[in-house]
Amino acid sequence: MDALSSLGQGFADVLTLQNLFYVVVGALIGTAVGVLPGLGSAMAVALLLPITFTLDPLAALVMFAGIYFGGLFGDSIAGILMNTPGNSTAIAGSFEGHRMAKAGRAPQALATAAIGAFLGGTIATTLVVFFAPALAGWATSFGPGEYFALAVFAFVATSAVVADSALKGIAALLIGLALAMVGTDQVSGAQRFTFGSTAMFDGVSIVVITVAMLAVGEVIYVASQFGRPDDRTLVPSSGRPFLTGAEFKEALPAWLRGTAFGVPFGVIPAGGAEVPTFLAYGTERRLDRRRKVPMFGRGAIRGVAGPEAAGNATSGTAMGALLALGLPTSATAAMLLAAFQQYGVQPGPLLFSRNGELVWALIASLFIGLVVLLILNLPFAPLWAQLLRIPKEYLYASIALFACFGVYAATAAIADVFLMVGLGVLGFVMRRYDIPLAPVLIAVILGPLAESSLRDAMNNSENDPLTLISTPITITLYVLLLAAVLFTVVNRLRARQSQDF
Amino acid sequence: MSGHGSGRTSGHGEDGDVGTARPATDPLSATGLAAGPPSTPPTTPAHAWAGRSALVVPAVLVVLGLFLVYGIVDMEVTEDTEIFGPKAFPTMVAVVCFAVAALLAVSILRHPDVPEPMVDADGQVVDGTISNWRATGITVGSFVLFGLLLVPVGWIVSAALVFWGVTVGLGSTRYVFNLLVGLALASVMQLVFAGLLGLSLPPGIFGVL
Repeated sequence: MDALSSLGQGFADVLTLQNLFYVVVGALIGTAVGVLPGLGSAMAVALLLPITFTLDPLAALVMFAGIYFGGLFGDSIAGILMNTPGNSTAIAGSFEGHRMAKAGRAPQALATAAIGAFLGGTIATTLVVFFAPALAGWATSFGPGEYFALAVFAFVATSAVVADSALKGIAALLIGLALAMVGTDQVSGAQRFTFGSTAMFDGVSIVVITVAMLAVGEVIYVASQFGRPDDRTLVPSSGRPFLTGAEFKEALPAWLRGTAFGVPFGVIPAGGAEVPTFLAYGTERRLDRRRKVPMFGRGAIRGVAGPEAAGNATSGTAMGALLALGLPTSATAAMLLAAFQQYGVQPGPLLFSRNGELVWALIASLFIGLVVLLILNLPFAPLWAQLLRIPKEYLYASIALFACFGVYAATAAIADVFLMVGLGVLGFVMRRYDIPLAPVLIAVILGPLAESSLRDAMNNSENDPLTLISTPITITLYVLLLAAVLFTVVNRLRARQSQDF
Repeated sequence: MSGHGSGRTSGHGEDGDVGTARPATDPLSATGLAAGPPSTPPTTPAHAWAGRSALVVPAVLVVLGLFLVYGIVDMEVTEDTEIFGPKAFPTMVAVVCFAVAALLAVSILRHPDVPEPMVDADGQVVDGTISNWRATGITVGSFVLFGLLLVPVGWIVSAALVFWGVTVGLGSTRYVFNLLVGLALASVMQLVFAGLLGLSLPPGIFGVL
């Protein structure tokens, strides 16, 4: 019951006018970037990171938490009404969602998605309350070997398991690792890859890398695609935005099953929410085939409910993994970790004891944020869809403006502005050839941890490589990793045989 | 700095290649069929580079690996006795860079990614991957210009120019209106962030704030 009283204190800390204001702002921004295809919560946090530098840490973090969940509420809106999912996490829910919209049931599809996101997020966050402190407590015994295993797990999971092509994912990972090594070596003090430039002694600023890769790269990419056919017909959504009792009953089991898929995927860091959303979709589809009147293909409410709940449940427990282990599993989680570090807070096993008040206030804000998001999304989803009418040129010009501002405001160095342009072009090249961006961010953020823990482990054991697999925890992690890789390989071979999705 | 150099140079090489293959300024009119049903996709690649421009990615990795090797050789380490010193991790990353570059290159050469032409709503065939290099150039140029102008002329003017440049790159022709919108947004940001939040921005020629 310790967790509950801490959570109560957390609610007391968050329920101030200022913090509630930032929760709402975060929810608004998150939903907006979720709705707009091409923008994402990771980009939003990257662009806001330099601006919020002067804010109170709690205010900034609750805002980022709102953005984190908000992106997953908004992304289904564009998918359902336009069949262009705002993010990859919304693809699975869009198949049936868009069919529902075309059949004149757009409000019901939107409501199913919003309630699903709310349920999945709330259940997962509740689990975080009870299990994250225990997870953190267990992780306090971690030595360098365990941390190295965790970092390797996150690297392989995001680059090889989640990415479409393992090679492309690893390429992205390498770019991130190389960027992370520039600067003064923390162990020996040696200058690495600075070539005598004092501007590089502190390394490449995380703000420069993330803004360049996520925002500048996207702006250049959108420019390079300009002139292509671009289908933007909105299906109008009118009428009662709520579900009837029968519809609610119909969707409820799918919501719960989706949540069940999502929860474990956030805890075992297998990266991102795409996999569980597709698993949930596939399950609902298989179950549907056994019914007397199969609904899939004609706008099945369960085809929306399952994936939406799965996506937010994954994000909820991924937040737990981030707080308790310091382990980011998606681009947005990596950005949140960067935000924590900006305020001198290090997520990980010691977080709950060192920054207990902050963490519990943050967790409390997640619950408030979910309620705010449900209110914002349930009746107003068609209004949010109006954002899709913003002319592209003004949207991306504003992003460019914010990117330039953020980078200069964060470092006040012109060299960083040019570095931003160069990395932006690199980000564009990566988008152009389908190289995933999330592994870059995770490598930049976890690279230093991976390197220092590897060096500690090896130097402590007189360079005995067996030290890396000498404890039960490390062995478990590597076995899990191997299982995840095998699972992916088998799944890909199967997908090649039957193009069923 | 690695990404800076490699990304840029390879980007330009790519630019030239595609540019020579097809008129790059207006992909719609250049490759679209004005009338008639969608034709069969062109089966013979225009030249050896078709579908293989993705080799830019292994090239970036090779450049990155060379950069790491150069940096490792150049590194001054006081006591170079430990195996796992400051050079160990970069060496591992460099080795994997070359390995992944080789594997990626082989995979691209074996399965060139020849784009499937997309058919738009009017039945026009649009080439799958051609990029609009005019728009790309204007957009990148706007960012570079911002870097060059920020200190001499200040935030408001250079930021307005970035905004304007990107809108022009994305095809807007309301030049004066866009410039005014850019100026307004830049001024608001200067007021809010420099004025209220105390972040520093170069005032430049409007050196009053």
